[in-house]
Amino acid sequence: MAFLEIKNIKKSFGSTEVLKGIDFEVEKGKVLVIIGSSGSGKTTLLRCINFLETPDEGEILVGGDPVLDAASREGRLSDEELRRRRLHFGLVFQSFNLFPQYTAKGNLTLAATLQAKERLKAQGLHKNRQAVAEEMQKLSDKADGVLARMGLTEKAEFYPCQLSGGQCQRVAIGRALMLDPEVLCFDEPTSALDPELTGEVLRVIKSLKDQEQRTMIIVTHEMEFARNVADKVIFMADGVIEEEGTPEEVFGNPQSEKTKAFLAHDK
Amino acid sequence: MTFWQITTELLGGFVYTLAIFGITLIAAIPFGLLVALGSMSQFKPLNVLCRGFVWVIRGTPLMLQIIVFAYGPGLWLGIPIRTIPQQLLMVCIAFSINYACYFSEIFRGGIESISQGQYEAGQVLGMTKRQIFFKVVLLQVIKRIIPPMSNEIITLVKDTALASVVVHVDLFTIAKQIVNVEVILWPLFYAGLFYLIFNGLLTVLLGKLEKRLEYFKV
Repeated sequence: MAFLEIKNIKKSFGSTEVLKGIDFEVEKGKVLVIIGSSGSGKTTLLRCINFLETPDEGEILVGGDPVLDAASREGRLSDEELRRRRLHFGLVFQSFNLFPQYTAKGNLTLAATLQAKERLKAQGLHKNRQAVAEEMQKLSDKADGVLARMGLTEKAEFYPCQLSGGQCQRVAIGRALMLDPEVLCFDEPTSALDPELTGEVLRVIKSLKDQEQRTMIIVTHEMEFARNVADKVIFMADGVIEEEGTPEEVFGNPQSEKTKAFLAHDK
Repeated sequence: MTFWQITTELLGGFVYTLAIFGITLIAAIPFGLLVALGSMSQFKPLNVLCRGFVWVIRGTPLMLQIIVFAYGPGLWLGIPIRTIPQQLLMVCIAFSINYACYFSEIFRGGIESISQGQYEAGQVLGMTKRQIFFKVVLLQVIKRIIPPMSNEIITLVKDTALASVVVHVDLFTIAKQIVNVEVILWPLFYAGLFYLIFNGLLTVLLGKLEKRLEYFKV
């Protein structure tokens, strides 16, 4: 049984069927890269996995546990339960979506701090100054560690408007890492960047694979990077998985006409 | 009347002007936020109610609203508004409701201008709607709305003169009375100077606030 299982995800917007039944699996510590032309449903798929869209049909399982089951009639999840479940996943956006009024480090610690406070409150420790201070110190140290891994130690106290696009995206990756997601998703992480800044972001993502064995799903248009980082590649077209396999198979020896056309066009 | 007597009289009126201004501002901001949230609500009846309310209040003269609040209770409810504190209270209520509606539209515009990405980023980080609003969106909204709010706040200072239709204690009314009794015109201009200086002060303060939020961009 795979670590992450996606089963028959379908999603329509009005009369447009964007996802027509998507199935795939990702093993723990492996990297799945999704490629495909715009409008093929890649982003919608990531958004479904991250609960930003609700699929009309389908199931998502993490470690064998159902995280999302569109068919079940258990009714709408409570906000609390939804929040708990979505934390299995992290998402890095194309346009970063950093919080502009917080420093780089503030962006990393905001959600983690709020969650730590809720945890302390549940334990009845939120009035215990020492417990709170210890928890905050732990988070601060953790954030320093993450910033160092992102190569941003010097930028910790900078605001997003003072950072380059590449630095912003690395802050955004760090922000997602702070919550220790089991699966980290990237939605075209370099598409909003100037070409000379994509390298630094791609290197950081690669290091997450090489040094931390993170389970990741990456939607990208960077074919060279995809080939380099992927354990498995999925090519999507018109809301279905047109082809899937190892990077060698998909890039080196594509079977589907659509995949061939897409890859040829990209060169 | 000597210059100093006139100054003291006008200062006395200015205190009431300030009171109307201050009370209105403090009441209209939270009320305006509620109306803004109502006009953005997915719950149709509330949405229609709030938008309709804003339409009526913005669509009719403030002076008429003041009259309704000052004389309405006596006419329709049998609770005559007679004393100056009572009259001032009703005037402040009318002002607060009127300004809350203008504020609500500024708030709504400010809140709706924040990109969906900010909410989504908060959501995927497991933040609650409340946390996203208060920890992420609110300060960005405040930064965005300072310039239009400054406009309204400055207008409010001058609109307080409309209180004179029901209660004769504010700065402008006092100045008019002096002009009528003494048959001189300059106290009116002198009163204008009070408004001008106070608004200058507000402009500086609001400018400072704007500067303080310059460390980030939205």
